Amino acid sequence: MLTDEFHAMKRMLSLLAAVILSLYTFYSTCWYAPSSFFNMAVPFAFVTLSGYALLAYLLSSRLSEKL
Amino acid sequence: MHQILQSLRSIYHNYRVIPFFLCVSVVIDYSLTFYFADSMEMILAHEFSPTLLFAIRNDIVLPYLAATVVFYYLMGYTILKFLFEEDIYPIGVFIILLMSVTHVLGGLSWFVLSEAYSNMVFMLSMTSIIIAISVFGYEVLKRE
Repeated sequence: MLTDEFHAMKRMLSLLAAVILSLYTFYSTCWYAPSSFFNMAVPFAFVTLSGYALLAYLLSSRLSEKL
Repeated sequence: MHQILQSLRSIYHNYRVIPFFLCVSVVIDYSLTFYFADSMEMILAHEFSPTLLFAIRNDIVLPYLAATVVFYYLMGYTILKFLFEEDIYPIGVFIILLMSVTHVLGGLSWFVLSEAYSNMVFMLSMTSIIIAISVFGYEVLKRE
């Protein structure tokens, strides 16, 4: 049981580190794009798509629990 | 051919080696930037990295580069060591390699000098963030 908790914590920590590393890479390569359209539209599209993916995952897991 | 595949496979499974690609790529990125830019004024006017601009303005480019390389290696090593022999290990490798490619392509933008190309580098960089956040979110939701 304790091993499972430790195992899950390791996965979470490594993914959190991956998020931090990717944010730092973003900041150290190109914090903004030359085109103002890209600056506005691309982050919005990415956030919308990932929000949609998370919502779809949540709804599907709730539905499978009910079934 | 078989030997090349074998070597690639052994590199893929070695979590000590993969972060080196990220370290080398950041050195290539900044080397290409300084090589292809005509002057410091040109870098200050057109560079899109706030951290590099800060380092140039304060004349700490080499310490900044060394710190970045060490930070990249430690983070990459930690990520892959923790994910080693997990089902999501390939995602960790993919994120690190994608960031490496982004850095090299970012350095080459000083050679290409095209707005569309820089927008593409921006999108690649954002893709690695979205993948990392999505997998992290998925793990958090899976535990609940």
